Amino acid sequence: MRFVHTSDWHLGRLFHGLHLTEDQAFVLDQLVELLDERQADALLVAGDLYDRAVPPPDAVRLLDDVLERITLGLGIPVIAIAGNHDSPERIGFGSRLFAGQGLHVVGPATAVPRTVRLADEHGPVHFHPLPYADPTEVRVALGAEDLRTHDDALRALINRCERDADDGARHVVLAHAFVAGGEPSESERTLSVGGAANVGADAFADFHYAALGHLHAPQRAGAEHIRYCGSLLKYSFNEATQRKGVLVVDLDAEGACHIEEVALRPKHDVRIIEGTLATLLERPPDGAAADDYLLARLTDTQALYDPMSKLRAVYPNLMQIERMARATPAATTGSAAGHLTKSDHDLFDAFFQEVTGAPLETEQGEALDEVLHDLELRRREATS
Amino acid sequence: MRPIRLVMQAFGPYAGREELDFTALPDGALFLVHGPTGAGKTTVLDAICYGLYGETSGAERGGGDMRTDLADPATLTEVIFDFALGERVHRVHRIPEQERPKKRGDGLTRQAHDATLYLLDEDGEESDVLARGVGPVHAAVVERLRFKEHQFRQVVVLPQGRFRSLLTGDSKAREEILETLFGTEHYRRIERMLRERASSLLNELKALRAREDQASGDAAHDLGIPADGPRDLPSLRAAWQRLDERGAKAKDLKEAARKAAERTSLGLQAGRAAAEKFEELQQAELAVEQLAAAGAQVAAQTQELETARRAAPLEPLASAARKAGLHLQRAATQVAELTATVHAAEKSATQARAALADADSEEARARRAAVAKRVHELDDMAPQIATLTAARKALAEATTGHERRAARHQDAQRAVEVVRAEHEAAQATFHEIREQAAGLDAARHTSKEAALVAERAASLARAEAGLQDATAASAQATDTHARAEQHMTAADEALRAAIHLRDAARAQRLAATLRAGEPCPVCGSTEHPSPAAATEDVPTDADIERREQERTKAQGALRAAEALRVEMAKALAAAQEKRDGLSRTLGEHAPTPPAALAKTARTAAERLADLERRCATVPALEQRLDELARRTAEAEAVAKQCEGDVAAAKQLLETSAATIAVREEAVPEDLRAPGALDTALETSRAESRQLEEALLAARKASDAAREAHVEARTALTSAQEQERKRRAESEEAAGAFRGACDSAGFADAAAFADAVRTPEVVAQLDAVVQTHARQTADAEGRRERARTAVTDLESPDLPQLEQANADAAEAARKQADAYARIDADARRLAARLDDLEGMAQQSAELDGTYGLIGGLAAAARGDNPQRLSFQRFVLAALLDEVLDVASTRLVEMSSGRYRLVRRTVPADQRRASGLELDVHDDWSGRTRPAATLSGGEGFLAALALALATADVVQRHAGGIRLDAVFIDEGFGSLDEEALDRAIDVLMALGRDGRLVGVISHVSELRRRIDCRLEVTAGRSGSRARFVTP
Repeated sequence: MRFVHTSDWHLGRLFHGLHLTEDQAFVLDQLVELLDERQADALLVAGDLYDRAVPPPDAVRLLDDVLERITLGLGIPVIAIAGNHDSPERIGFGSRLFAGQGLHVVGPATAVPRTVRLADEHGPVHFHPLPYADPTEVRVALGAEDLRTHDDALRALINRCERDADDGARHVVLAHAFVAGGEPSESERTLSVGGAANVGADAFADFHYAALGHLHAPQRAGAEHIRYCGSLLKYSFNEATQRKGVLVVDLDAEGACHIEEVALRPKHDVRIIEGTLATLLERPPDGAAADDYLLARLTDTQALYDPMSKLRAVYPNLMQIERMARATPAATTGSAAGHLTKSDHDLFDAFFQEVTGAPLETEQGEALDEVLHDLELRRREATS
Repeated sequence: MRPIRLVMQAFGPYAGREELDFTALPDGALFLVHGPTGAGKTTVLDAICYGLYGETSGAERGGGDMRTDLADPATLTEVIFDFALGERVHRVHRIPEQERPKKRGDGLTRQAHDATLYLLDEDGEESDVLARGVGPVHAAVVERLRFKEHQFRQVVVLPQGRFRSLLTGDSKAREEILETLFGTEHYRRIERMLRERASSLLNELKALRAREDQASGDAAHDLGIPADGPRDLPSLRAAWQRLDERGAKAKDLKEAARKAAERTSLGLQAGRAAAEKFEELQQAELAVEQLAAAGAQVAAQTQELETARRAAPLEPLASAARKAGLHLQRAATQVAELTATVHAAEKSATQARAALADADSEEARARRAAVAKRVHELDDMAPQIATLTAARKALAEATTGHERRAARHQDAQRAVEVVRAEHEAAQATFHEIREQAAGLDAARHTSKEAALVAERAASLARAEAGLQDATAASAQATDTHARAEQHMTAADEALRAAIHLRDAARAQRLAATLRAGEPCPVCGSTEHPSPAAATEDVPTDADIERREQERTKAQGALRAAEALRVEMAKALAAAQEKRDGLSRTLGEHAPTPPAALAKTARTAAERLADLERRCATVPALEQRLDELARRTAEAEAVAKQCEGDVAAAKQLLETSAATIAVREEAVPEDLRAPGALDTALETSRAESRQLEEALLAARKASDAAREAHVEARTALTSAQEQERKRRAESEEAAGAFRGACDSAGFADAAAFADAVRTPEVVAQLDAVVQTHARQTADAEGRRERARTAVTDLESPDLPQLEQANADAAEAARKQADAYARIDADARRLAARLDDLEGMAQQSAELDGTYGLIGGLAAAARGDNPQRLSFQRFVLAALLDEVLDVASTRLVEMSSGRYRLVRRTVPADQRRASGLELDVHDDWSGRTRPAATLSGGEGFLAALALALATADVVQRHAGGIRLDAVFIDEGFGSLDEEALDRAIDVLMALGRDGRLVGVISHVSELRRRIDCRLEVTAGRSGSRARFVTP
């Protein structure tokens, strides 16, 4: 059986204020063509279909279109799970109705996880889509009280999957989690404040393939058959060097996998360009299209006047500027911490010098001391 | 400061008791306080602020307003906040001002604002009281936290929309906030002190100069220097010198005048002494003359004295004679009186004797005997009268008895009648009912029938209605059918027409292909005389099809209409039949309206019911009849008995009357009346008594009169004797006195009376004579002496001497005055001139000091090119530090775009500055005022600034670690990306180990932050609880 593993589409996401829906559509077109070309038997989407619980209408339209083309147009079943960005209830709308047409979406976590049974010429292949759920939701769904961490929750759900050792089926699990040892990028959301969201990779050991989602960099997670396929597009500048695409997985009769990475070409690449303002203005660095989504790292050390508008004139999709080294403006008043430890007299001296340009003369100093002394007496009287 | 536990009871929208245990949150947690608007999220912060300081987080809601309206009046509003400072855990318990029910009795009493601060031990129990009462607790909290409420609000609890004020305010506002935060009032005080000192010095200087001017002016004036003359010190001193010289001269003149005055004074004294002696002599001579004049009078008085001395011994005799005369007079009077008395006594004795004779006559005695006899007779009659009285009483009793019995008899008879009447009535009723029972069955039958009829009539009416409906429907169906038929016909025709046209067209098409000479495809002829011409529009196949379809549709409609019509007709027939059937069954009742029939049925039913009720009462009635019969018999028996009683009483009555008649005969008529005897007896007895008494009285009176007469006569005799004695005495005394008068040389008693004088008068006269003699001797002696004294002297001219003396004294005085004035002036002026010198010195000193202090004060105040005051200088440095930290965070939050800087060049030379904030935009390389940031950007900047301020304050406040920070709202203005960044910043805070609390209603936050304090609003108040993973 051949299926395509993708995840983290984040439809409706903003990238530095810009909606990426068009770019996402561009890439999804390629995905549809790929499915057709390679004659895939199924598409697995491992979570984060939308970027937000309530996505913008354009994103919804895009997803509707893509799913229709794949399930109705190509007749390829799609198995998708909710991620931590999706709202499980909203994503899971109509799932029982859609299942008949080959669109299997699992939104909320259930006491008995669903199994999607497909088959190829070698026998049945069972897919176990486990949606993202935080431990509280899993506790409620399963009625079990002692699940504390994401790890506990996921293992509990895995235990409930319908698997018999001797049913002769190959088992593929979909999950949306942070497997320990994985490499995050800048654009993932933290799953838990306090960070105990990691899941051990051994939880997936019993499956023939684990299609994971959540981390945006394509990577292995503890074993060859436990894979993150990465996000659809580069969603932060931190990912500029990653290869974005999907995984085409061939599952043979024994359940061994042959995994191929297929890149998807984006409409606008996300890159970082570096140099002085002058060099960057002259010509774009090699291999770069001027309308890519860019981060400009300026190496100038002196102050620059209006670099953003100047660079935007050349690179219309410049998102952000970073300065490497800059001279800090001269501190005119010196360290404040020092100030408050000085005596009143010395402090006034510093002040006087600052505002008149000359230090206090002796007589002035004496007069000041007298006043300070009086003030001190008065303060003592008031507090005594 | 780390919150441990918060308890809110009846506080804000929390009607009950909410206990929040912050230890349930994991360390360094970011938690969200989430809930709908108005549920009570900000109240949680309010509670913390209020608990610590007695003020709420926005300082908008007062403590007294914090009590919820929804709370039970018995529930007390209170806040308990446990918090940790380092290792030690404190608890503050605060109760706001509120009304609560009295502990004893009804009504509400005012609970005052109260607070207590405790120290807790390891078990969480209160181990020490650190402060009690609102004031002490406030002081203790400020001391331990090192923050006052404003600082707390700026740094720990960032309230809704308020912490932007640090970012967007002007220099002055920022100065105030920073001053409070960093406690730099001290420097402001230095500023103020310098300013005050400078201004007070200036005032002193001015005052001193004014005084100087005044003093020198006065001195010049005193010294006689003209107004425009020189006033400086040396000239003044010179003038003074001249004055001094004038003084010396005046002194000499004074001495000379004094000596002259002394001399004249002595002369005057001598003259005065001489004048006195002359005066003395004159006086002495005058005295002597006066005494001589009085001599004649004195001689007369001497004479008088002598005669009085002679008359004195005759006095006693005179008085004796007088006394005897009086005695005689008195005795004579008494005799006359007693004579009269004797005559009167005689008369009365005679009278009394006569009266006695009367009373004791024969008549009187006879009368007395008769009366006694009467009394006796009456006594004998008494017993008979008694029996008569008894008999009368018996009669009276018998009468009453008879009357009573007669009344009872009447009652009994009436009772009998009543019972009889009842019995008869009951019997009548009983008969009536029995008759009616007979008709019960008939009534039942009638009722049932009527009901049935009514029901049938109703169904008939319903059937009628149904029939009408069916008729209408049928008509409608027929109509529809007719229309459908028409439609069908039309469609059919159209189709046919179209087909025809098509066919025709076919012909035309064929005709079009005809060529002359070529055979016609239809008939083969080579001639074509009249080919079919093209006509109008040829209907296409599609058209035909359409028409066919229409026709089919119309057909279908027609069929349907037909079917409907048939159905309706059937229904109509059925309804009609039903109606007819019902009408038949009803028979003659058919025309009657169902309502009337129903009414009839109801009436019949009612009647039946009534009848049944009555029949039911029969057994009861029978019972009653029996009872009544019994009662009748009883009553008759009673009546008879009463009759018997009445007869007996009557008999008794007659017997008593007879007895009375007998008795009465034994008694005399005038005594028959009851009580007549008694009256007669009394009258007689009284009379008898009276007569006896009269007799006795007359006897006594007679005796008394006789005795009185005898007494009077005896008295008269003795009085006459006395008179005779007194007469003899009187004559003797008079003779003695006359003899003495003659021997003393008095002619008669009159002369004697003249000469008599009292002893006091005599003494007086004696004294006068003696005095006169003495005085005369003295006066003569004085005259002699005075004559001796003036032998050698002359009379002085006093006026002249006096005048001379006065003149000299005057002159001396004038000179002395002049000298004194000059001397005083000189001394005073000397002092003044010394003063002036002192003042000049002081003035010079002050000038110097003022110059110094004034310069310092001006600089400190901000009178310098940078418009920077001393305090702001210190604050500026602090602000720089704060901005440094803030920029680090802001750079992160804005992806490297913004940082905050302080403006160093004053924008406006007139206004105070030094603390203006600008934001540096890296993308444009320009700096612009911080207030130009948009809502979302501004929120991030303000957040960065607030957190930085907290950090810096902590650094300077001596290591009190702020383990918690709360942020109230503001996230609603951020877009998703900015929100993400803000959350990342807050999570980073949490990683430092701080507890970060965020209040927001933004639902996106709810998904992202898994530790939550859920606040739910309900109708009876809000509830809050922690939800942790």
